[in-house]
Amino acid sequence: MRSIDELIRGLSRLPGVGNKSASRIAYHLIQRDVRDNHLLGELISTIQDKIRLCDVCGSFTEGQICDVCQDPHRDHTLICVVEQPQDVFTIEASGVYNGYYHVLHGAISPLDGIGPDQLTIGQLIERITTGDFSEVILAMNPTEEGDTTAMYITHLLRSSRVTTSRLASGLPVGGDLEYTDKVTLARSLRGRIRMSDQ
Amino acid sequence: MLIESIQTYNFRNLTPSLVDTNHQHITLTGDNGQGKSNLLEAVYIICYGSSFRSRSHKQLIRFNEKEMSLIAQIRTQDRHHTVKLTIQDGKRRIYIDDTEISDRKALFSICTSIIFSHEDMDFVQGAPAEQRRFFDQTNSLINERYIDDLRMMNMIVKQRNAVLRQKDHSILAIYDQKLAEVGIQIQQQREETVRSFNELFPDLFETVSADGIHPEIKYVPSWKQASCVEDAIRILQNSHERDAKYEMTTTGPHRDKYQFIEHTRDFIETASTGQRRLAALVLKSTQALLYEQATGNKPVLLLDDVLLELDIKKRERFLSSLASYDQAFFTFLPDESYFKKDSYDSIAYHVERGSYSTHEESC
Ligand SMILES: [Zn+2]
Repeated sequence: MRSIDELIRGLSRLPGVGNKSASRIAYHLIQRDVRDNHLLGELISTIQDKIRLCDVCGSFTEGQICDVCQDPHRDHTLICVVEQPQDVFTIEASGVYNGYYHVLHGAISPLDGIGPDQLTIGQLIERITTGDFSEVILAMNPTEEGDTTAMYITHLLRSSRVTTSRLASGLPVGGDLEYTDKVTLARSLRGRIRMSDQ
Repeated sequence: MLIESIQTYNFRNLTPSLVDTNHQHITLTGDNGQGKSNLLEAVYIICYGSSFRSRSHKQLIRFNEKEMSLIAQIRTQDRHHTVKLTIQDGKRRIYIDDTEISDRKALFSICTSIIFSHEDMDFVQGAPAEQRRFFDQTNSLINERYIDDLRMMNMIVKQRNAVLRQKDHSILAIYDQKLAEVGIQIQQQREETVRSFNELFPDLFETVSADGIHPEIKYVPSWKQASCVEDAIRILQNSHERDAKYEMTTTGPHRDKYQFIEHTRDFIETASTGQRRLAALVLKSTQALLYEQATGNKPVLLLDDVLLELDIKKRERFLSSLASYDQAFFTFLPDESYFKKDSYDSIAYHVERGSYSTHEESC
C-alpha cells in the first residue's frame, strides 16, 4: 500500500531507525488512538518554530537565551566548546560540569566545504576575549575533524590569557560525544588534557 | 591458526556448499576459470573483510544474484571463532561469533592469511602505490596501531588538499602539524620494517634462487631529511608554494617509494622475469615470517598457481624456506605433479564449474 510504504520510508530516514523498526513504528501508528497521532504530528510540525538557537552560546532554547547562559550560579571561569547543541545536553546529563558552553555547529572539514568561517569560532573568540573565562574546554568529537578544530582554536588563543584543554582519551577515536556513556564522559571531563598553558 | 570449514553462498561462480578444510594441506586442482582460486579468495576475505582481486562488492556476488555470504569456522591457538560476511543491497556486513563488527580491522586479530599470487609482481615492479600497499599491509599485520595511523594520514592529506584547492590557507599550518605528527610515526614504522625485511629477504632470495644474487630493499622516504616532527613541519612549510601551485600535498609519506637494490644498482631494472617472480614470492614468505615473529601466530598460507612458475629444484627450496604454518591452500592445474610424497595431513579437491569434489586417490 502506497501510503504505508511512504510512511515507512519517511521514518527510516530518521537517525537510528532502520527498515525493520520503521515498519514496526508505522504499523503501530496505524493501530493506535488517532488523538495520539495528531498530538505527535503537531509536536513534530511545530518544533522548529518553538526551538531556536541561544543568542549567546548557540545551544537550543525556547527563549532568546538558554537556561544555562541565564544561570548566574555557574562557574564563570569555565567555557566548554562543543560541536552540536545535543552535546550540551549530553554533558549536562553527566552532572560533572558547571561552567558555560559554546556550540560551534560543526567541525572544520575542508573536504565538506566547512572552514572556520562556517562555524561560530569568531563569536567564541569574542566571548573569550570579553568574558571572565580562564579555561576553555574543547569537547569536540574525537575525530580528525574535531581534532583539527581543537588545534585551530588553541592556535587562535595562543596569545590570550586563557588555558585550553581537550577531553582526555577514553573516548573512542572516530566516536561521537552524543553516544558516549555518562561514566566515560565524566571521566574524560575530569581528566582533560592541557593543550596550552598561559 | 586453521580454517576448519568454509561455507559459500552465491560467492562468485562457486556452487553453494560447505567445504571441509580441516586439514593442514588443501589442494585444489582444475582448469583455469573453474573456480579453484575462488576458495582462496574466500579465505582471504574472511581474514581481511575485502578481496585482493577486486574492490567492488558486486563482483563477489554470483552473476544474476543479489546477495552472497561466507561463513568460516576458525580455530586459533586457544579459541574457536565463527566469522560470517554477507553482502546484501550493496552493503557488506561482518560478524564475529554472531556479533556484527563496524570496522573490518577487528578481523585482523582473528585469523591472518598470506596470499601468494601472480598479482604480487606489482609489489616488485609496479607503481610506488602498489609497493606501499604491500609494505603497509605488512606493517598493519605486525603493528595494530599502524592502520589507524595510515587511515588518519590519508584523511589529513585529503583535507589538506581540499584546503589547497580552496585557497583559504589560514588552516594550512594546522594540517602541516597534523600531517607531520602522524607522518613521522608512519615513516619510523616503515624504516623499521624495511630493516627487518633486510635481515631475512636477501638471504632467502639467495637460498631459493641459488644464483648468488642478494637483493636488498631500500626505503626511499619522501621526507628524506626528516627525523622528527619539527623537521617534517619545516619541509611542509617550505613546499607551500609548490603545493599551492599543484593544489595538492606534494611531500609526505603518501609519496614514499621502495627500491630493490643489488650492489648499489637497481635490481628490478636488470632482473629477468623469473627473478622478479621469485622476488615477489620471497617478499610474501618474508611477510609471513615477520608476522610470525611479531605475533607468535602462524598465518594460513594461500598459494595461488605460483609454484608452477618455479622449476622443481627452486620449488623444493622455496617450500622448505616457507615459514612454518598450520595450514596451507594450494591451487594447481590438472596435470601438474606437485607433492611427491605427501607426508602432510591433506585433502585434495577437484574443481569443475564451481563445484568441489574430493579425489583422495590422486594425492
Ligand atoms: Zn546559551
